[in-house]
Amino acid sequence: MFQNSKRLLHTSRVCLARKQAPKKKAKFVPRDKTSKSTAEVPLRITPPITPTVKNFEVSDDHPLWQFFHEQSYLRQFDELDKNSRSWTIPELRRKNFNDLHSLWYTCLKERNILAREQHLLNVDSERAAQPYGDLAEKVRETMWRIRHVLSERHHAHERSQELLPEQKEQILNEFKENFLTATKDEEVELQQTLSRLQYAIFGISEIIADNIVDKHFVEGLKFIANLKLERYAKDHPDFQELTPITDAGEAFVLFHSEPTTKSITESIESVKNLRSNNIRVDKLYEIESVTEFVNKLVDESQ
Amino acid sequence: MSFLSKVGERFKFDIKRLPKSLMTRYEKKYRQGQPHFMRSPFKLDLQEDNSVPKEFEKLKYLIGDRVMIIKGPKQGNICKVSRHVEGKGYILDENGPTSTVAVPKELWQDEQTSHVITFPKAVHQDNLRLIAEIDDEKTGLTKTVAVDNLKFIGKYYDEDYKKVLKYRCVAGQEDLVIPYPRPEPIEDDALSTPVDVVRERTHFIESAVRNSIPEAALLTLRNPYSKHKRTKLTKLEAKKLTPPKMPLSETKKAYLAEREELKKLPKYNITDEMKTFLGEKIREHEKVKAKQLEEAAKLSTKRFL
Amino acid sequence: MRATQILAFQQSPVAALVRPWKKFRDGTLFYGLTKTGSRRHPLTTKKGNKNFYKGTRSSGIGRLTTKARYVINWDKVRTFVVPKEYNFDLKPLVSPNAPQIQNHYEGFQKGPLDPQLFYKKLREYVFYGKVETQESQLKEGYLERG
Repeated sequence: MFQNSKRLLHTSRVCLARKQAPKKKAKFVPRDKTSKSTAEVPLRITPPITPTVKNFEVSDDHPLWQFFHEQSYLRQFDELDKNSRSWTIPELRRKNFNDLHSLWYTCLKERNILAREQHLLNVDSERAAQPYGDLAEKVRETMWRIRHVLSERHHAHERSQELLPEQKEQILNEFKENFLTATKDEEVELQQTLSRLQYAIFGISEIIADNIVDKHFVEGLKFIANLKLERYAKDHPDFQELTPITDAGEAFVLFHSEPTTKSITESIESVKNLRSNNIRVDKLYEIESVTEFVNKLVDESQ
Repeated sequence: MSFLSKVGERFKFDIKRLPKSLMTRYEKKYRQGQPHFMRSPFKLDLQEDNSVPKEFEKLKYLIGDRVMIIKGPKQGNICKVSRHVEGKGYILDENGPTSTVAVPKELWQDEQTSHVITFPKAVHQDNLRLIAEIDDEKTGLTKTVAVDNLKFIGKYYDEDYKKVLKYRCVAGQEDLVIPYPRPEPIEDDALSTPVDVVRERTHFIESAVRNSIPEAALLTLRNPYSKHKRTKLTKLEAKKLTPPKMPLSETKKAYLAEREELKKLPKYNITDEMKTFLGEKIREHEKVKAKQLEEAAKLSTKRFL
Repeated sequence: MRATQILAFQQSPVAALVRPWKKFRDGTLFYGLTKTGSRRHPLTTKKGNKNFYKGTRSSGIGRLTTKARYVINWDKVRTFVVPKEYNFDLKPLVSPNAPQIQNHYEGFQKGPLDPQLFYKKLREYVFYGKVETQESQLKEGYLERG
């Protein structure tokens, strides 16, 4: 096609045009006759480099070391664990999620090591690899039990939601009675119980950044604000007027204040300020507004 | 890694699936493959699991138990159990039976100096009896007896074995409990977690509204779309499960209508008058029936005469 | 025009194996292609046709570009999450000297999933904190409330 087009005046001739200028030939430089070429230098015979593992340098923190037991190529049969048993379900039920997760991860790594060793020996004879496989089976048993315990925990949590309203009321009433009748000596213990109750019933965590604001959270704010008012400001002249607190903004102010009569009185002043200026949180946007308050607190703490 | 996968397992040679007719041939080959001194002294069923069981009640005698041999060349000897072997076999101490065999040099063990060695021979469970010390109530002395048979009943927690065990009793006299021998202390191994770390409680139910398991982990624990855990039926399934409504036949309709009407009628309790009336009727009926029976009997006797 | 292949008239691969027209034994098969050998082997990549994909659960984590480069989609790569606070004290197995405890659920019909048990534990946590209560303690050396 191009051969034809060469003869005609055609647009495709552009394609045939050279785009790059040809490289210039390097200038001929005659060899300096004083310098020796490699061929003229006499060869020295050096000992051959034998290919061994020692010639490699591997750092101690190389990730592939995780497939080796203490950086050894292969554990001997009598170095293997023989006496230990797998974790049982009752034992695993006592461990929290973080522990179970760690244990599962450790098991996984151990199984990797064992599989590597088993694979090495399996080439030779299956019988020699058997103890490694048996040990790996023990570890696997621990692993499925971890999954069992976790899913059991999840199911228990799911099922508990049916009884949440009635149980919540019972626990809150019991706590309220303790909270209002406690003496001043029990103050420290009382605050600890309060922080546990917050998380148990309303999901309010002590660490502000961990919190997720939802309807439980807002409900908790109001409950705790009212409780604090009743315990620390019962003798305040405006107590009757203020209670019960139903506004999320006011509740947040009281919730955030220190559990002392002095700081609660200060908070009452700011609540009264809010009321006089008619600043209220819309019922429909409670969660959004409280999220804003919490985010502000997080920013301040950082 | 083929040994991790079980895919081709069912196409492998499996002794358990070998037909009985081929077993004799296989056994012969199997025995030929083993040196004489390594063969099991018992006749093992190769298609059964001959491994040493873990349950104490299946083991019958534990390591450290004193037993008497009741059959064989060393009959009457009292020995201690030192090891279990497959096929319900027990290796005993120096008082037990031994066998002397010639070992080829390639199978020599360390420190072996002669071709001929002597080593203990396993004794079958059935040829052993447990020796126990029992207090005699009458004389106040302790008697050493051999127990013919054992029975495992009840349960208790054993401090030394660290687990729940069954009581080992004399069969036929269950109040005589023979305690298990005390185990040798075992040390922790390379992969074992120390006891105090195992026993430590770190999990508490901390919240009713927040799950203790992070949401991202849940997906790896269970399948949220699992067909086994669905609470709602799909439309198609509901359609398949409900039977279609069939048109009623005329007789069925009439029957249902009659039943409805009968239901509407007032219900009466049976009065005494009614009872006497019914009673009389039944008596009359019985008389008639008796007469009929008599006549029938007469007829039958006539026929035979 | 070329004649249509006979195979195009067959209903299905299974139907192709069945020969209902054969009424008498004449040494050929009534069913199937071979008479001997085990026919119930797993389908492997060696057996399937050109479109058969089985994989080894290790591929399919990305796509090939037109320039024959493989672009990995990291969302499809299997990952293992490292625990937040790695507890190195826990090892894969348990010491042989640890007691083998058993759980009991007296008074709780649904066992470990019982909501009443859940709230009992929650109540204990709220009022007493992270301590073993009398009810959750080990009894007789081996019994423990689950």
